[in-house]
Amino acid sequence: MRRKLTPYILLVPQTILTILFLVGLVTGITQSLGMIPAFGMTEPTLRYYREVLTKPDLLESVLYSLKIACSSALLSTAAGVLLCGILVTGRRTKGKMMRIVQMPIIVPHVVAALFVINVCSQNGLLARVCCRLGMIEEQQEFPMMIYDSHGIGIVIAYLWKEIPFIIYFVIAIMANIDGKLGEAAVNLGAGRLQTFFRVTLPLCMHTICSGFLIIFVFALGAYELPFLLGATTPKALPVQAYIQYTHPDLRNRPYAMALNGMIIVISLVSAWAYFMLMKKNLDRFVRK
Amino acid sequence: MHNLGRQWTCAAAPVIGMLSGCGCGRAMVRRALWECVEREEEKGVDMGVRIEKLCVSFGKMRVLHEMNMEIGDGEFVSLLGASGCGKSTLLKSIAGLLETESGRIEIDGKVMDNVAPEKRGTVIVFQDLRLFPHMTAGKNIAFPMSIKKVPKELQRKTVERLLAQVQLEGYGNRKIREMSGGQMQRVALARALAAKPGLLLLDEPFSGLDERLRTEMGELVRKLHRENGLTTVLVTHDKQEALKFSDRIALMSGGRILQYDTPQKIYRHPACREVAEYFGRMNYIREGDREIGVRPFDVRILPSGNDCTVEEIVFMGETAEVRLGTPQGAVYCLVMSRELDGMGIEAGMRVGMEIAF
Repeated sequence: MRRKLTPYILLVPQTILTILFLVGLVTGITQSLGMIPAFGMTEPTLRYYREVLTKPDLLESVLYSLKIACSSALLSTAAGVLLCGILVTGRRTKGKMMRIVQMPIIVPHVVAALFVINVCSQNGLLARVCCRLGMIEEQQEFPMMIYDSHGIGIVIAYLWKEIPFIIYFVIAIMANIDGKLGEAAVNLGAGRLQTFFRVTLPLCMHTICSGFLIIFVFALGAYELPFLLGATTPKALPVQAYIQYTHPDLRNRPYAMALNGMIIVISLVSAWAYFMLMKKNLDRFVRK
Repeated sequence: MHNLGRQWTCAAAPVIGMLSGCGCGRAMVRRALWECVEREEEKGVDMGVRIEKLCVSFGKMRVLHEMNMEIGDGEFVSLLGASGCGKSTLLKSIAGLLETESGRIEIDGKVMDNVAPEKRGTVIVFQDLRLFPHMTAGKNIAFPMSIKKVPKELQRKTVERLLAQVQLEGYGNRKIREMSGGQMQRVALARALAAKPGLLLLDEPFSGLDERLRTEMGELVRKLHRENGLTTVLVTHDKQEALKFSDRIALMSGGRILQYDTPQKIYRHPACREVAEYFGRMNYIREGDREIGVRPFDVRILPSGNDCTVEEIVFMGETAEVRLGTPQGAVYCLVMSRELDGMGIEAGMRVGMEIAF
């Protein structure tokens, strides 16, 4: 009897967490539809979603977040894959080099933000070096990369954190493919570059896309970097949602939840894409 | 003979001159070159290999010890030996996929020091085949040609010809994962041939197949070797495969070649006990300070004699192994099962024996 119950007992923590998550999710979605009985709001409506998508400042937040998430994920993936390619073709996929590359993964995002402020702000290291070298007359002439409306500082911080993540995520499979199928391609007359672009890269594409989606979803929903490095306007979706949530007028809460709802929808679509990619990978593995 | 397939030189040169002179496009030059290569290939493209004092180490462990070997133009050579004896290492060293420690490898009279693998004119068919899973069978076969930028139409024709050669007509659009082991072997062979190798290196390519398919594939390889005028090196640990298909066999052990000879000689006149025993059980008979090795098939049973006792009979299908007890020890004898049935011999009986030299 006890043996029969063991798996269910082991599942209890996960079940509790899932229930809590689902309760939060359902509550959030319900509130985003304007249903908060405590405030006398009982009629479901899509008004808040409509307003989020039409109100200029909120729409700007949506686009700003998408822009930051897309550019961070795209640039991190491209740079990570390029570095992976260099490391793999140079047979440097193990040892000290890899440990150095992977170091930023364990550094918290808040520390990455401070690092970017110290290096890239107009009072930062780069501005001082440029000023000292005579490239600019005053530090204030240094291009504004922090608190700017394009989110350059946020993207830089994400790049610093996520390029190593992509390398960590992709390099093992890339090294494995390059070691075997790459050797076969070289043996058939292909050069190192041809091998990389025609064999190794296409076969890593599923993993690379998965890495891209993980970064995209994370950057879309993350709060601390846009909060610490973002401009006053536009604000990123999570920052805007937080402001709406903590608004003195509690009837603003559905706006916060509608913004969160949008993050959820984009995340779900990404999760579905990730699942499909993983399924394809798994199917291939099973067939092998 | 030069490796025309790889370098597109020699007979093709006047064609390039003519076409460049008359202002024809690159595609036409490539087409003319490839057709020229195809014609040359029909005459037979092969190359010899000379290996001198080759040493290869993995870290501190030396895998090949001062190895010397020569492979003639158009020869079919088997590297035979137990797992870990250095066969695949030697093959990969010839192909340039491994760094050698010292010694020299010459292919077609040219020293291969610092020559990139893709420029050696050698192609390996790996044990795990290494077909590209994201390409169809046809695309896999066309891969070496697309690398050389062979015109698409010619690629298509060559793929069709090679598929026919390996008896896979109509399989060009088949995905690799939809093919059986034997079919994948054939695609791997066709892909290797598409690279127009002067030297075809086969690294135990049939090890994952059942016996019938192994024989079939072995015969196909032998046929392709003859038809394409290749020089072929086959790595195997299957002695029957080596004896059946090779012009010469190099028996390896511990990173050294123990004997390199024709199948008949290596089987009938082994250089040492290790070579002799690799090809099957041996009986050793002492004559003074000499020891003579006799194969069980060379021992004949004389039913009318009284020299020894039949201790055990092991039925093995077509043949049967008989253990004879003699005052000097056990002697093994291999006879055809039918012949044994005719003799009416059973365990415990007294028989005579003679050795047929």
